[in-house]
Amino acid sequence: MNTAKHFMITFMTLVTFLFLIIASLNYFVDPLNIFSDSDDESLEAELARTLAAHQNIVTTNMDERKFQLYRIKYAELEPEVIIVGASRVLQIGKNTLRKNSLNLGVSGATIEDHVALLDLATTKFKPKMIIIGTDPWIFNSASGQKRWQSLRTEYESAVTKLQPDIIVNQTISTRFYDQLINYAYTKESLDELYKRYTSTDDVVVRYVESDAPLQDRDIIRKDGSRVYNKNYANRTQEDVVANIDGWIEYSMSSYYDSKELLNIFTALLDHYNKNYEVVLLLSPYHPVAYKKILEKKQIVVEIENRIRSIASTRGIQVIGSYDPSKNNCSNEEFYDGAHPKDVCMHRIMNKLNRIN
Amino acid sequence: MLFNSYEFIFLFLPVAFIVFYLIAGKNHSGALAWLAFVSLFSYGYWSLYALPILIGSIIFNYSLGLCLANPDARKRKLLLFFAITSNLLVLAFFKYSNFFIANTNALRSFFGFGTFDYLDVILPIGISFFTFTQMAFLVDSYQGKVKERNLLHYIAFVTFFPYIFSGPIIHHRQVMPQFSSHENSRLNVQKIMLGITIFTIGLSKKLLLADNFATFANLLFDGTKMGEVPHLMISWFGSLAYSFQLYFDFSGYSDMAVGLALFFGILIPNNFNAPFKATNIIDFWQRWHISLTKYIGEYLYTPLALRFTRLGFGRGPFIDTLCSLIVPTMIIFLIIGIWHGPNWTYVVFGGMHGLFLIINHLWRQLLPNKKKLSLIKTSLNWLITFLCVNASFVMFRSENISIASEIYKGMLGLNGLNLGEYYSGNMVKEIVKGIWQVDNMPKETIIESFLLIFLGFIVVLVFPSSSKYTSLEQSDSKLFYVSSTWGPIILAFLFVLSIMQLGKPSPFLYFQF
Repeated sequence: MNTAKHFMITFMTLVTFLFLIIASLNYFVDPLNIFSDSDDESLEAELARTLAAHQNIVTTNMDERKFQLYRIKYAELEPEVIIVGASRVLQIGKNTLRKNSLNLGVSGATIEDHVALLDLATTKFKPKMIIIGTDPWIFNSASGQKRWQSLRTEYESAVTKLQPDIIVNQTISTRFYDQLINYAYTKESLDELYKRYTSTDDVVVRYVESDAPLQDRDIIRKDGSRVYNKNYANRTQEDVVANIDGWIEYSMSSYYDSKELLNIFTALLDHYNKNYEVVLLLSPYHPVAYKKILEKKQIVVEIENRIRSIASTRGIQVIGSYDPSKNNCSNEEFYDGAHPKDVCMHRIMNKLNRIN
Repeated sequence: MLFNSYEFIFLFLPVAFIVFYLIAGKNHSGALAWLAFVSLFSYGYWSLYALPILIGSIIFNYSLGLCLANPDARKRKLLLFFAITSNLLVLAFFKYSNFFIANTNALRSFFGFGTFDYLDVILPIGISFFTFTQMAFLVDSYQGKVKERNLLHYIAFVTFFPYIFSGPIIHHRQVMPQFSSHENSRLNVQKIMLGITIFTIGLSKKLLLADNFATFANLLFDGTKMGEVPHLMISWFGSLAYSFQLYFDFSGYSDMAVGLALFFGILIPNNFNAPFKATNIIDFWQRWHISLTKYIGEYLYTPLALRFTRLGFGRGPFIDTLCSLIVPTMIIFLIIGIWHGPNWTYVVFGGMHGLFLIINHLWRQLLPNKKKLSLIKTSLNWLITFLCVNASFVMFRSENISIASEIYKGMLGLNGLNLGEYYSGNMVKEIVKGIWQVDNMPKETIIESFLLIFLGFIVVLVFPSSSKYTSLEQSDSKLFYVSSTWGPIILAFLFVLSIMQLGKPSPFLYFQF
């Protein structure tokens, strides 16, 4: 009997202790603001409010997805065009598109980001057109991109609107008590804790009325488009070419063609194509990068063909191409291996400007 | 309600447990009524549609059981025939009607006739289990073996939530006397300790092992279903992953059932006893799904084998072997196969095991070996047994026979080695890279799959069977988890780690049977 009592006491005490530790970690660190009522006091919310009140803000170390969430909440705009996509669409704005637009691009965007942000944006705004930046990793479940999980609650709610029978593999549960002792959320909390203790970046919110490039900080315009800092924007072509391999591999070093992602993508198009003019944008790669893609990553070409085929069966317009030569974008018209400058994007957007 | 859910572990179970012992302190029958109520509640929570079917089945079988137990009743044999046939018809209607229609349609199409529409039937969960347990009650009532006939005890026996959904198949003589014993409804710390131990082992088998194996098993079976040609490595790795998934899933569930029953003072027999340690197929079936094997053995195999043996008696060794061994074994294993579900793959699975068993018995008859086997011979026996079981599970998991055939071809190397489009010249590297036939699968995932399968072998071959922890006599001082200081500490970590995995969807494989 003593053995049994000793067993029970040890087991119960340790289980309680471990639960308390894990639950406290998740509750107090709370990387996705699940337990906190003070969402609006976050850095991202403050940045979004500042941009709503001013013309431009200076970027800082932030969660871009959360920032876009608050942008949608606080922005008092009437955009005719909503743009979603990865950082390769961030040049689209007043300089490239002759319409009121709101650019909700986020770095490393995947289909989950598109689903979540479009749902939020179309709930608040009444755009006529939706531009979806479609990158080669759109169907790649091995892209390694997990940043969309900042919007996982929004995603899980939005994706079921696209196709009610879609099966959502919930990485992190949406129920309150699940998250207190959830493996995925604990991992997020530990990552967040590590970041907080190792980050040395200042978190001062700054706005500027002019969108002239700054030396070492990017600027976000009111329409969401990005002005890269001088250090980055003025790099020589030698520098750009020297680092080009990283951009070819970006989100594509491993490739697993996911039927689930393909289903979500087509469901997204079908859903929005009913009430909006949907345009798919294929941002070009740097010519040197694309040459290497043709040699080493034929899958990128196959994906472009597949996207065009999907769009064509639905009567959806595709603008741009991963191939820079299709839009006459030269080496100098790129910031790096994968990010076209305004001049290249303007040429692509001209198609839309002409039509409308 | 799934055992591996927050609702069950943190709400249902504590409430059921506390109220049971609060009532049991004053009124034993009241506590049993509460147990029957929570069991029916958990069944209805899972499937409200099936609840009336369960209640109807209980009323029908209990009433007929009482009639059959009365030796003065007229036409008892006819009554038993009616009762058993009714149970089998209900089971067949829910489980096999569309299978029957599909096969009839195939035949009718072949001869150019029109086809029948499928029935809109939903399989009530656990119907195979509660039908079998009650048929044993009927047969035993007829044979005068039933001593305990209390309605409340009967309801508690049939509906007891630890086993109603997915077994083990419980015999009334194993638990009804326990329900009637007042001693069993008193709080027993030692039983609770064993309950926690075995429940935690089961929970971690399911959530930490089975669900992870599922990811890799699905790569093989789903990929082949989608039209991919499985090569040598994925066929072997995927089939191993599935064998481990099935074992950890089902034995994990059974362990949880045993652990939960112990919380309420009830000792139910263990369903597994380290089956992957078996060194021959006869040994395997004495360790795998023990409750089904015992049930079939007692109520089907023994009467059938006796009948056939009489038929073949004195007609020469071949006819004798045919009648006493080959025919009854094959019939029984085809029944075990189809019991799992309405699919020809299950029939073939049963047939394969029937064949393995016949070979095993014949081998013993031809080459009797009473000496203790050397380590090499024992290892070889183990390997052959394991490979046979692994091959049969490919059929068990495949949706149809052609998928299984593709995988068998892959296992035999007939589909190639998958050395990749751009062969680097290093065969080992290429083979490892191509194991899962996923373009550029991350290196970490490949390593993880290796480690997981290695861990699977370690757990099934080195770790003691959890069945050892269900014996009160053994539990006092000898067993690691309950006697050493580290035992409860390791269990607590396993429990918490398992709970942290609860957010994901994780159904049990045997719920479909």
